[in-house]
Amino acid sequence: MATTDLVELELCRLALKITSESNLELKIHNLGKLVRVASDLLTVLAKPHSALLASGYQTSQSGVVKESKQQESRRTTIHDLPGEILSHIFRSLHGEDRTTTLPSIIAVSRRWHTTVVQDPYLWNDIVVRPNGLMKNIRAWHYYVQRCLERSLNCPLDITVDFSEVRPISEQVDKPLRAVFTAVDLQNNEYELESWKFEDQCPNLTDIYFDYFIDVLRLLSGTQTKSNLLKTRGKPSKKSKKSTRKSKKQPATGLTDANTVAMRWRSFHLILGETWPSDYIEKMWSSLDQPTPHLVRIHLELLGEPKEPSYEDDVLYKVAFPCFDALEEFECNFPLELDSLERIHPKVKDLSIFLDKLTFGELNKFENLVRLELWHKSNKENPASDMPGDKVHLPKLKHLALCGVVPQFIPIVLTTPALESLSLLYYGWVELGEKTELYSTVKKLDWRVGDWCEYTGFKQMPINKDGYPDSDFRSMDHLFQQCTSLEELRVWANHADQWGKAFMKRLLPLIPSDKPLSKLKKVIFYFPMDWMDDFDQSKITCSYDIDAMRNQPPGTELVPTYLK
Amino acid sequence: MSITIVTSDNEQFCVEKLVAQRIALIEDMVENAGDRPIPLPNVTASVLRKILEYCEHHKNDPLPPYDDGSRSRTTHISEWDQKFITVDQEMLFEIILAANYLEMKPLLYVRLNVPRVQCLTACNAVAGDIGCKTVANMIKGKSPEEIRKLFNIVNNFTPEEEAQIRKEAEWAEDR
Repeated sequence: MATTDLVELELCRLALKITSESNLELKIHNLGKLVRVASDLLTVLAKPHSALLASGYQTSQSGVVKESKQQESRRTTIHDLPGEILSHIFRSLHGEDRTTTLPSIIAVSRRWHTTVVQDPYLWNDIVVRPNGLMKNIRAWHYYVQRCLERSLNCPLDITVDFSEVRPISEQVDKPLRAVFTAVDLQNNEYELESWKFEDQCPNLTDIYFDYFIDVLRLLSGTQTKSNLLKTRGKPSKKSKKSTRKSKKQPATGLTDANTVAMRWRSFHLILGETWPSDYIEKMWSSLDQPTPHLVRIHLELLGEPKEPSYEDDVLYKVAFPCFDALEEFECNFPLELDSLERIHPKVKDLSIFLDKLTFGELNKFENLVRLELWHKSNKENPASDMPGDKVHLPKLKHLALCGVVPQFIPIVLTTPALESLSLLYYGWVELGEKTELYSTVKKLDWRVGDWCEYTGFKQMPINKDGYPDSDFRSMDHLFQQCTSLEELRVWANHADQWGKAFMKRLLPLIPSDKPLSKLKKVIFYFPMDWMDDFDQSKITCSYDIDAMRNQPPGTELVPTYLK
Repeated sequence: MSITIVTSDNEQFCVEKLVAQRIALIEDMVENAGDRPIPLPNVTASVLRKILEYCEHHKNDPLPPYDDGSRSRTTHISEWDQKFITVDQEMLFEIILAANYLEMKPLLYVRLNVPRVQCLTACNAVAGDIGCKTVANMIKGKSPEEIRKLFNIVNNFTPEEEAQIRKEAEWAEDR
């Protein structure tokens, strides 16, 4: 290839790249390359073609080749990766606990330390996971300060996880008992078995949470109130100077408290079973700042899903500040939303533990695209929850029904754009009589198990083949209504891993004049014992229904097996 | 239709256009190149062979969705991808460097900040950040000393600097 061709091609490529990317995204290595190639181009333009081939550019190219050959002679190592890629490697630890990975990474070498400290996107994902130790509070406070400073003006993704907080009595009892045991050996005057630290100091856990709320205040940019964090010693002259200096800088990191809440992009709160319920409101008030860029809120209560009888214990009342940008809201426990109208205008994705008080309010979420509906209705008397009006969600495409779902929910939901329906999660769904809800569904997730119920045709003989009684009955009833179904995904079919019994049952419904005439594919996933395993489930096999339609009757069903 | 690619060690590869189009750099160059071979002066034949193996396997995958670059997310590495990336360290870093040069983000990394509702409509959109994720997996759970040993990195901190760094990472203690 001629030298000019090489230059021309490289220039065209760079020109294309520059025009297709914004200037901000133009990478440093591309700029370097651009300068080099532009310099080559000037050489090309300045010299006659023949002279160029004979000397200048040819020499330059051979120099590159020689250098390249020299490089080939040595091993490529991690030292050869540019800082940008190193940063991406560290960023891909997202999802891992950075509070434990970053300390290791920054201690490897100066280069790694600099790369980590200078990359704001390694500090904008703030995970605070306290364990209940008092001395830990200061460390978390310091960590949050560092994150806020080093993340500069980046959007903040904040996770506060209280699931690892153990009652302080548990942590203190063990060493104290050891001490008392030693004392007891000599004096024998303590009744060790009945001794509990918490009985002696019942308020210590409360004190811990009181102090920890100051870490939350820091996260939202409000003032620290407790003495614990204020008594870190007087600021040195140097730090006073830096504080004065920081006031002159544009609002970044911690320099302007009001900007911290402005940077929130997502907030994930995880509550453990030891979290005192009366602290929800106190904690929420500590975070009560305008967050105009917050797009995701995820509130999660760990532990077993609560039965209806628990509702009074977990029904929290929360006042929401104005969330103008909120698009995703997820909450897996009953939560009374005060001023719900403040969050609905832009919400597209809603996962909510619903009760009868808020069901009708779903009408206000007219922009919803995805809805995960947890219901805690009384299974014994679901009719008592029946709302008066229909709920019309014109843009809803994805719906997951979870928990205890009485038949009125599918009936009152009007979702003309619905494409996918998930009936996967723990609970009990009553299908009810014919409803419009299923008629537009193209993709259906169906979990095998004695949890989905259709009460009609109870005398119908059932060939179970490893499936619970109600499965085929409810399945038949549901599939009769899914007349647009194209893809069926079957989960947790433990007794029929390759789905052959299931497919035999399905076959009569797939001919062109039957309800599942549009079905193209059935996929079996395994295993899925519990909702936590959902992400780990793997496809075991699939059936190409179009191909099956063209086979003569009696042909053996052969799935496509997948590892 | 196929195109010809020439590597830095002058080996020629005749590649199906659909496969080559997985490589953004080549996709940019192919229209201007016409019938001429496309030179890749920064990629050796052994590395390009691996890259093409990846492209061939993923040629029918949808391309990754819009990426604002502000947030990384780990993604599941498929069994095939895991097997593909089970190579020695030298080849792993060469693949990462080549993917960077060739602007093959799915092979190098996936930077997504896509709302869930978009992910639901663009299923299978994530091809996998197998290069960087593999190195990240090698780092995960290791002490600084173990990481240095693994990658042959020299500890160039002074004892004072090390003490300061330990103090900075106090939050991770007692966990």
